[in-house]
Amino acid sequence: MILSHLRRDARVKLTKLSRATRIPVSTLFEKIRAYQVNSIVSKNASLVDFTKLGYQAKALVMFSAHRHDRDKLEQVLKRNRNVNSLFKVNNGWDFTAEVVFPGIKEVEEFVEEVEEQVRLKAKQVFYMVEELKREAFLSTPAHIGI
Amino acid sequence: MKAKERAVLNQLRRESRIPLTAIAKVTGIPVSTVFKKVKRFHEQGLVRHACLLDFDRLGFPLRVGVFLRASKKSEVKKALASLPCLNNFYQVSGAYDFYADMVFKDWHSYESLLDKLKSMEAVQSIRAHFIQPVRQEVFEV
Repeated sequence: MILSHLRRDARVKLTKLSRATRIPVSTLFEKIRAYQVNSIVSKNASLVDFTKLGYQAKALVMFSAHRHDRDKLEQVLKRNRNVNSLFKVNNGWDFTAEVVFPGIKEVEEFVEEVEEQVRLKAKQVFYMVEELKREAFLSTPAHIGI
Repeated sequence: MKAKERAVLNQLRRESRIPLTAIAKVTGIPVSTVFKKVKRFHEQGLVRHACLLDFDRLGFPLRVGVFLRASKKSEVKKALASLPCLNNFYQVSGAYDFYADMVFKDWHSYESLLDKLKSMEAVQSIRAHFIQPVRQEVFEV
């Protein structure tokens, strides 16, 4: 229940959270600290609507590289500041990069840059037309116990 | 967006539970200004502060990215949006119409959902991948 509140608003004040959950502030403090120590909470991040900041192109770019080039591909993707999130994937692919750029031209240049540095087996770009949900899992008490 | 606003926003991107006084100290911006800027970010609908979870540690070891192509987009969108296993959900362009990042406690739950999606008349094709986060939400504005 505490986590569902933090999923919706990670900056919620402990006093407010205490009222909502009927758990004492001191207990909440300990529990939240334990979530971080135990790496249950991997990060507290402010999710930004990038389009409002002028980043009009968000895309999911899938990459597949030859076995010997996978580590290099990971390093290249990790180094790029426009890769907002990076996932390892299976089923014939190696990585999915969620990228944020001012426009489509820059996304294309990014893919070309990766190709220049790593021998790719395949690549595929999916531009995000609309964000329908973001970090929604376990964000409502109704999800507890699923 | 001005450099000072970007500085505040980037601090929140790195650690959204950071106290305003700590942001003020790091950025050299007065705490009252930081307070106003953070308040404005909310009013503009620019940010949502969320804790990102290691779902595996909470008993949900399967995370799957599913691409779907649909003949009736609104029908599929509505059906997917109501799923409790949904984490991220985007309408995309290209070979597929939607991308859904979903989380499951076991193989059975995943297969049941996949069968349910495949049985929908409006779903034309599905491609699924198991996904494992390497890093998340690191882009600085």
